[in-house]
Amino acid sequence: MAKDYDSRRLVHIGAERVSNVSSTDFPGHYPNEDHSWNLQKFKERLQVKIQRLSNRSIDFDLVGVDASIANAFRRILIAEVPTIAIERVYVWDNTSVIVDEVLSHRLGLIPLNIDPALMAFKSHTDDVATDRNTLVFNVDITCTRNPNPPPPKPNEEPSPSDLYLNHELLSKHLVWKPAGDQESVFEGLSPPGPTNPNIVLAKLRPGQAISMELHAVKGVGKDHAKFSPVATASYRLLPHIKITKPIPPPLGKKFQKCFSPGVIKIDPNTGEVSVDEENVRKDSVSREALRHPEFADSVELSRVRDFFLFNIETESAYPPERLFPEAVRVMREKISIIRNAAEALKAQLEGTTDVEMVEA
Amino acid sequence: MAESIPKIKILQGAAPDLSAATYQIHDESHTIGNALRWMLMKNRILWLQVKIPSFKSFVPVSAVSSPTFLSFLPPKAVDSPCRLIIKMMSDHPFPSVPHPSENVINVRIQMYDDLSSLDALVEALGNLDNLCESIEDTYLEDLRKNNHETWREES
Repeated sequence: MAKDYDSRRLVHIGAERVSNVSSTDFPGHYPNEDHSWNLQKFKERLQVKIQRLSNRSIDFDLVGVDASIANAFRRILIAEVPTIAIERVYVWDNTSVIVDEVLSHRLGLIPLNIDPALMAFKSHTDDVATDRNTLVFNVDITCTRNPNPPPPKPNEEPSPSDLYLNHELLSKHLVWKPAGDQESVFEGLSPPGPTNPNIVLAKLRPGQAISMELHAVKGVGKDHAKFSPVATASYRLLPHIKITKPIPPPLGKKFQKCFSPGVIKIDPNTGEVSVDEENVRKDSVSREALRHPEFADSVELSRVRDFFLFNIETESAYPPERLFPEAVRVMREKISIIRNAAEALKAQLEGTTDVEMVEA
Repeated sequence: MAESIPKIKILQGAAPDLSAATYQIHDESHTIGNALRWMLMKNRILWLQVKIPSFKSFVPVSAVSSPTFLSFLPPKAVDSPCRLIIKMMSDHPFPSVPHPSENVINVRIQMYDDLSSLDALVEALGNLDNLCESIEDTYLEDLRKNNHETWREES
């Protein structure tokens, strides 16, 4: 049985254009219909269904909210959920071929495994570094010749790892220097460091050395992309395919090929063509079917306006399932700050009118 | 130390009873701006106005959206002083602002029946918070049910 959606929920997709893009569920759009805010009604329509969860990513459906809400969460995930990253690099020695500023930039981009909840923001960038807002790492590496290189193989170039010691600066060479009570804060957790130990940061040759002190702080993606906790945070709208006229069985295969694999089912006995509602989300909505005159009148393509298929990939200390609640938390924090300010403004204005009335 | 910037400021041109006012919110962007616009559009007062029989033909244009200007305007055909207009501008060149690169959004709210736009703003913020809370609860409930596919992704 094909799933049917209220036509008001559908964004129509034509061969050359999309229409019915804007949502219409607000007061004044339809005569004598109440579309004003109602939490109970909203809760009845709201659905969240987690589809897939891995150690790095999550796919879930968010159904029954407006695009402005879904987009707010997406934007917060990219730009406003805090993480820890290296912000200051003090270079004592760097004789490698990578210049200080390029190396510093590379260091900043290393994802760290530190739970941001354990750290505080610096209230200003020039604030004094304390054990609550800064983590210190040291890098000290000198490349030397290997005193006992393995015997060279015939017709083969000797590899740098055989000839030299410490010929690569890797992310695992960052050594955490606990300060203050940091040791007890991170007790029982994996020690602060890069999430991936094998990121190549610089290549060295005998005689070259790097000696640096790195300060990691808490920040948000809108300040610098290195603080963004996600690799991607995106959503698509659920595709909806409606077959309006039966597809003749001889054309079934051709019709099936107009869509992504698995989206169109063909009954092996009757040759009846139908849409697989479980797999319709896999469709890329290429509109290929609309290019063929024999199909153009038999199918209607659309997307469901309030059905968001979220995909979030973590690239930070947050497990993927924790990212969305963090985004909601950040959103609610913002709302509460604005609301307090608005209420204070209201009280202030009421206060002034009262005074005037007394004076009059 | 620089003077601390107020989170919300009422800009010049507001009605004395605040039935129409522009609110400048500091350190916010379209993230909250568009969500707030949507919630303000759901204001119940407008619904009550539309229910009046003479407004049966009331069919507003749908929300016009572009990166810097979002508004909701009923058609001119309605011969009534009643309006609810919500405007949002992120780069409004307002002369009294101390810095040229402004980190603010301006939210314009005009109300029917001389109601306070500040009340509407506070109400919309409260509703938005309820909305976020129910989304979070529903998400966490589904996560607890644990009936999703799990898989291992190598990095």
